[in-house]
Amino acid sequence: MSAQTPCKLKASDYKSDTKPVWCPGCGDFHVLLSLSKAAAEIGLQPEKIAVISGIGCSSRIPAYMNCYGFHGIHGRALPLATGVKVARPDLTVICAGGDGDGFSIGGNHLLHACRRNIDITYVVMDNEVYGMTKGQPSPTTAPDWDSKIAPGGIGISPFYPLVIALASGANFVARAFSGDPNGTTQILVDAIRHPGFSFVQILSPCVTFRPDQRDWKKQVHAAPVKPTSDASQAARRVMTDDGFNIGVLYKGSRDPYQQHVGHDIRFDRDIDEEFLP
Amino acid sequence: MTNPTGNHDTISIALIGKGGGGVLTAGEMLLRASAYFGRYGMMIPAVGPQIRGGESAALLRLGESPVNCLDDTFDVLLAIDWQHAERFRADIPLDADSLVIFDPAAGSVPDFIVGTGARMHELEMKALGDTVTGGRPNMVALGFAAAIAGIPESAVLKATEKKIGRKGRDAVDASSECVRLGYAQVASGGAAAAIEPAAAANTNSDRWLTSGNHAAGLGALRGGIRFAAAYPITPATEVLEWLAPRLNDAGGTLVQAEDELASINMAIGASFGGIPSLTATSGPGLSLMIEGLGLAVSAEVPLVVINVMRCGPSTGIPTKPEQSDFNAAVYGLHGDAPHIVVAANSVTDCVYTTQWAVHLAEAMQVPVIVLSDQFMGQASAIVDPIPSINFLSKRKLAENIGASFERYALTADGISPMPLPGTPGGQYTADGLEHSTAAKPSGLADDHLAQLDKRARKIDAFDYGQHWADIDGDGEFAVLTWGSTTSAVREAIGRLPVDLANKIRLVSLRLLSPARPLQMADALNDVERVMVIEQNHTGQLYRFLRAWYELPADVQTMYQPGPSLFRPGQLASTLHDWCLQ
Amino acid sequence: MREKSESVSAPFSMAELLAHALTIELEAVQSYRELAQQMQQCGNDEVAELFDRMSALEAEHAAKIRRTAGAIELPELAPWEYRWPGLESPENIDLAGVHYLMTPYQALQLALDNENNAMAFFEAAANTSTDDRVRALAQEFADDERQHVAWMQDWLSKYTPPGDDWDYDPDPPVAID
Repeated sequence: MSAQTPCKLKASDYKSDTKPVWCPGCGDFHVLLSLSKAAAEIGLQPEKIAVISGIGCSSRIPAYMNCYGFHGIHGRALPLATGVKVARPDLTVICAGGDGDGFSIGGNHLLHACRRNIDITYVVMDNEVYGMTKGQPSPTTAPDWDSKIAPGGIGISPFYPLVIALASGANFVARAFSGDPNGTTQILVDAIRHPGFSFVQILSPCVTFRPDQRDWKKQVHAAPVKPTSDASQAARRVMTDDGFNIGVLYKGSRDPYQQHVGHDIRFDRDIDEEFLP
Repeated sequence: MTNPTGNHDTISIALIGKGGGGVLTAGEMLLRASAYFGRYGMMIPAVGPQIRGGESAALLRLGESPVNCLDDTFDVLLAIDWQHAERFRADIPLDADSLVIFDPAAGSVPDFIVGTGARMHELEMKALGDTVTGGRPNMVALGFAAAIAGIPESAVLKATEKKIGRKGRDAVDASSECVRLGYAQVASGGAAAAIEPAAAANTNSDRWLTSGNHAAGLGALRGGIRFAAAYPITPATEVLEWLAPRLNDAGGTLVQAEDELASINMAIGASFGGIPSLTATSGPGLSLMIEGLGLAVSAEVPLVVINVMRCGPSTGIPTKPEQSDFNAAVYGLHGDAPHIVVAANSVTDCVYTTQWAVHLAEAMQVPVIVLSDQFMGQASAIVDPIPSINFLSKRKLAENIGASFERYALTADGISPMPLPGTPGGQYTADGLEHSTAAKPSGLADDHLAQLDKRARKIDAFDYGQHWADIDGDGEFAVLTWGSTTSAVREAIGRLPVDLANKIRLVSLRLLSPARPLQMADALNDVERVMVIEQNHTGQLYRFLRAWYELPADVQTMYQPGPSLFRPGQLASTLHDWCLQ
Repeated sequence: MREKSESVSAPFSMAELLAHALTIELEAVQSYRELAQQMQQCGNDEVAELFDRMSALEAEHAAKIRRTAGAIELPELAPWEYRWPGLESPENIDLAGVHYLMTPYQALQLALDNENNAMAFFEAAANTSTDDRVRALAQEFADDERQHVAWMQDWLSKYTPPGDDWDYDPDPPVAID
C-alpha cells in the first residue's frame, strides 16, 4: 500500500452520519473511535457487524456506527445480543452499554451471558455514574460519592465487574481506558477475535457529572503482568486489582456456546407421526 | 352413554387416588385405549398442592364425536383411595345417576360423596392387585373403567404395552394381568348393569393424541418458527419442552433464558436477525414481557408470544385455567402500542391459531400474543388428524437497497421492507425510541404521528380473512365468546330444543385485537340480542366489545372466574332462559 | 496499554517516518472535524469554526506529506504499533481538555499543545536518525510544525484567556432518555 492507494477499511468507514448526543469531552467518543479502528483493523464489513445496546448515554453508540444496530430496552442488551448471535452466527455481534445498564438492571443477564459463553464482545463504558439521568450513583460508584439521590454517598460496596465476569465464566476479561484509544483498539481486536464471551470494561470518564475523573489518565497504568489462561491465577490477580490496571486479565479456552440456527432448515422425519396415539 | 339429562353420547370417568398410585398414568392409558378403539375423548389432570405424593385426579370424557369440554357430571368415579378427595369436590360433580367405585380396604366413603346420592360399588383393587407379582391397584382400576366404558380389552392391553413397555416384559405382564382382572370384575356382574355399555365404535384409529401445548408447538413449527427462547412457567412449560428437540431437528434452536426479561429480548434479537422467533409463558411471565413487547412494536420486529392462561392475579392458581389475561394482553403495553392478540378455541385450534400467529407476525412485523389456557394446554385429547395449511405471506424484506432506502418508510399498507443484518447498504439501528422514516431517533410531532399512524394502519388494514372468528349458525341471538369456553357453549347450544338452538348464532372470536368493526357488523347482521360468555371475574372481553363495537341494545353477560369450568348443562339452562325472554 | 518502549527512540526508516507523519495529520483531520461537529451541536459556533479551520490546515499538511511520500510503499501499522512517545499520536486531543463551553483561547491552547508535541516528535526523530535523508525530512517536518506553532501562538494572541466563570451555564444538563 502506498500513500496514494488506500486499500483497506478505515475507522471512518464505520461512522454513520448521525451526530452523537454526548457531551463534548465524553470518553465515549474515544470508545467509538476505538471500536471503529478495531473493526477496520480486523477488516470486518460494516454490514456484517451488529451493535446491540440498552439505555443510557453509552447505549446510544449503535446509531453512531455504520453497522446494523439495535438500541433496545434498559438492561436487556445482552439477551438481545444473544438472540441476534444465535440466529445469525455469521455476524460479529458487539454488545455495548454503560455501568448502570450493564451492572444494575442488567446485572442478572451479565452473569448468565458469561456462563453461556456466547461468542460476542461486551463493551461496558464505565463512568461510575448514571449519566443520562443526571448523576446518580451506579454499581461501580464509590460508597461515599455525594449525590442528590444519596446525600453523603450510597454507602454500599461497589460491584467489581472483572471479578464477576471471571467468576461467571467469561472467556476473555479485560479492562481498557478510553483515554488510550490505540491501546483500547488493541484490546478490542483481541476481544473480538477471541472466541466465546469477551468482556471489556472501558473506563470512560463522564465530563459532566464526574469531572473528578479527569485524574483517571494519571491513575491508569498498564497491568504489570501478561494475560493468563488460568482462571484461578486470574482470580488471585483480580483480588489485588486497584481498579486501574489496564490490559487483558484472562483469556480462557472454554468452547463458546454451540447452538445456532443453521442454514439447512430441514425436517428429516415426519413430525405428524409423533401425534399418533 | 345415554344420560337422562341430555342426549349426548359420552361417558365421563374420573379416577382419583393419592400420589404414587398412578392415577394419571391409568387415566392416560384409558384415553389412549379409547383412541385405539376409535373413540374421541379428552383427559384433564387435576392435582393437589403436593409436589410428590399428593392426591391426583384424571378426569376423562370419551365419546363418539369430538370431545372438547367436560360434562356437567361424572358418570363414574373410580377412587383407588380417598386421600384429600374433598379437594376435587368441585372438579368431580356427581349425582344420583353416577356410579362410585371404591376399594373398601381404603377407608369409608366420604360424606360429601355419599351425599350426592350416587350408587356405590365395591372393588377390591388393592387385594386384586396383590394377587399379581408386581401388580398395582391402578391397573385393576384401569381394566374395570375400560370395561364399563365399553372399550375392548385388546385396546387397553395395547395401551399398556405402549405405556409400560419401556419398563420391561415383566412390568407389562404384571400390568396386563391386573387389567384383565379388572375386566373380569365387570363381566362377573354388578357394576356392568349400572351403566349401559357404549355402542361399538368404528375402528377407525386414524386419530391423533395431543395436548394444546404440544399442538401449539406444532403450529409454531409449521409456521416457520426456528428460534425459541424459553423460561419455564406452569402451565406453559410443555410448549417449550416439546419444541426444544424438534426445533433442533428442523435446523433451529431453543435457548433457555435466565428469566422472562431475557427470553422476550432474545426472541426479539433473533427475529431482528431474520429468524421467526417465539417464546411461551403464562400470566406472571407475560407481565414481565410487556416492556419487551413494546420494544417489538416500536422497532417493528416480528414476534410470537404464546400465553397459556392460568388463574390470576399475580401468582394466582398456577394449575387451573382462567381467561383473565385478556386485559394484560390487549391493554398491557404503555403508550399507544397496537399489536395483535389471537386466541385458540380448542386443542386442535391451538395448531392453526399459533401457525396463523406466526404468519401475522412475519407479514406485519409486529408482536402477536396467542392466548391459550391451562385447560386446553394441559388436556390430552383425541382429535382428528390436523392437516397442514399454507399461509402464504412472509416477511417483506429489503434486498437490493439503494441510497434513498428508509427502514420505516411510510407505505400504503404500513409495512416497510426490512433489511436483514448482513445486507449491504441497509444498515440501520432498530430502536424503541420514536424515529423518523430513516430510523433516526426523533422527538418531532410529525414523526411520532406518522409512525403511530403507520403502526396502527398496518394491523388495521390487513386482511385477516375468515380466520378472525368462527361463526356457527345465523340466528338472531348471538353468543360472543372466545378461547376454551367456546366448546362448552357449542355443546350447550346442541342440547337446546332445535327451535331454540336455531335462534342462536355462535361467534367465537379468534382475533381479539385489533377490533374488526366491519367484520363484526357483518357477523351480527340482523342480530337482536347478544350474550357474552367468558371465564373471568370482570367480563374483560365484554368491556372491550363495549369499547370498540356497536352492539344491539340487548346485551347480557355471563362471566365467572376460574378455576370452575363452564359446564354445558349450566350454559344450556342459561341460554334456554335467555332465548325465551 | 502500551508501556513506553525502547523502540520509540530507535531510528525511523523513511517509510516509517512518512507513515507516522501521515497518520498524525490524518488523525488530526478527523479529530478536529469531530470536535467542530460537537461544538456546532452545542451551539459553540466560534470554536466550531476554529476547529474546522484546524481540520483544514491538517488536511493541507496531510496532502503535502502525501506528495512528499510519492510512490513509496508505506508500512501498514496496526493502531498500537505506532511508536509514539506517549500513548497516542502527538496531535491526539486529550478529551479532558474539551468542554462544550470552551473558549477560542482554550481551543487554541489545545491546538498549540498539539503542534508543540508534533514538533518535539519530529525533532526527536531527526536527532535519533542515522540516515541523512530521513534526518533531513524529519527536520523539515519539525520545521513545518514550528511554523504551525507560530501560527497558533499568533492566533492565540488575538484572544484573551477565559475568566473564572467561563464554564458557567444557567441551563443544567438535560436527561434525554
